Amino acid sequence: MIAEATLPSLCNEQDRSPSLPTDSARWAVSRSLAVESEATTSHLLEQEKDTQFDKADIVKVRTIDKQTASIDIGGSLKMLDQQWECVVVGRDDETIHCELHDLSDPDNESEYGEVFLTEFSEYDRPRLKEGAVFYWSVGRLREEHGQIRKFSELRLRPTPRISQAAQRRIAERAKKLNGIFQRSSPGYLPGQ
Amino acid sequence: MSEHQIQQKIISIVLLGDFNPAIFHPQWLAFNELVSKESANVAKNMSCQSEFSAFEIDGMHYQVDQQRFGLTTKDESQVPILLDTVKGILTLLEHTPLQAIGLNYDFRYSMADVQSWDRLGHTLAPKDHWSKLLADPGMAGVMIRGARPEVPAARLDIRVNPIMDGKNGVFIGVNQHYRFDDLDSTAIAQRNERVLNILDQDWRAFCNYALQAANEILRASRLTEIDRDC
Repeated sequence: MIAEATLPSLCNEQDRSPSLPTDSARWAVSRSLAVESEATTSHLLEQEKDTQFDKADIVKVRTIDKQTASIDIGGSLKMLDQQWECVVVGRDDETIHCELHDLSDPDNESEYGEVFLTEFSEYDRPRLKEGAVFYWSVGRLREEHGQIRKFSELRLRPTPRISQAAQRRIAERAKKLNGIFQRSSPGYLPGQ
Repeated sequence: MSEHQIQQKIISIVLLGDFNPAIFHPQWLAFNELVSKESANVAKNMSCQSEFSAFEIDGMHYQVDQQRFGLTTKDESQVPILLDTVKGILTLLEHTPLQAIGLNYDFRYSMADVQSWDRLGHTLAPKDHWSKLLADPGMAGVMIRGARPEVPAARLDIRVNPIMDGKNGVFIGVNQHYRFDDLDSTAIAQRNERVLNILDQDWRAFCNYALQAANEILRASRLTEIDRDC
């Protein structure tokens, strides 16, 4: 194989595809994966690295071509050995009790476990109520210079804040569905 | 013969539709509890404007323009979070008109040696025809488009590119592309629901398929030697 310093032929609008396009020239000179709209694959520039976020929530307004962002794909590689989806079934002062579902091999039976609350970030702890879900990942981290380290990570499932109107809609729908289920249950008598 | 080595996995979900990049800001995600406030405060590589927004939080790269939303991670352990985040954003932006979704799984490998690197290129793009047209032809990239009969995706693209990183690198990208042409353009809720169903039902099988596809392609580098000058 060879890598050329020219770009592949351009796609037309019908070919616009939700994929992350690549080009060999890009790979030849950088460890960055270009992310661009396939509608125009002709421009590839570096994302300007000096755009650092200001903690005061101030957004720097600056000129940037939308084709210019890139993802640095260098660095270490995480090799995932096993991952569980953990459903919180209870908690006490020090630990949370959870049911573990193996995401690496869904055929494995569910297990039960306890995890110290101190294993979680300060942000996550108050959210670890019954029914909350978190992910437990274990594996190895291969660093750029070849060193291998083990890792174990706990991450709470992100659940969006739902507006009060949406909550009302969901409650109404649940009530309606509940009514349907009750009416279809074997012991239901008309007029109940 | 030693084996190839995986260098990087890049996993992404890309949506096409009509987006408002201006609202895609780390603090908006924090306000809606999709990321922690602490993480939002240390977002990296941030550029948020009315027509384009990009930043990185907790190993997740967000990129949004007016026609395209992309969420990418190179950390395999973050994949469930990636899926949950896309679902969460769609829940919040339930009135966003969507046109297509792409599931993407990309791989970077280092081949064991330059011979297997060349062999892969020769197998995927045989040179016998090209040799009549060009001196010293070499594969600079291949994309094959097809479908998987058992999957309702519109098409599947597999790309293979060489990586000139001095490590006999190869990029393999798998894109499973869905379109919603069968739904009326005003059926926003149905399109939204379709995306959620795809993420729930097709994602795992897609990942398994992408891994199999990458392995199958790399097998070409182990096939019997094909003479470069054939």
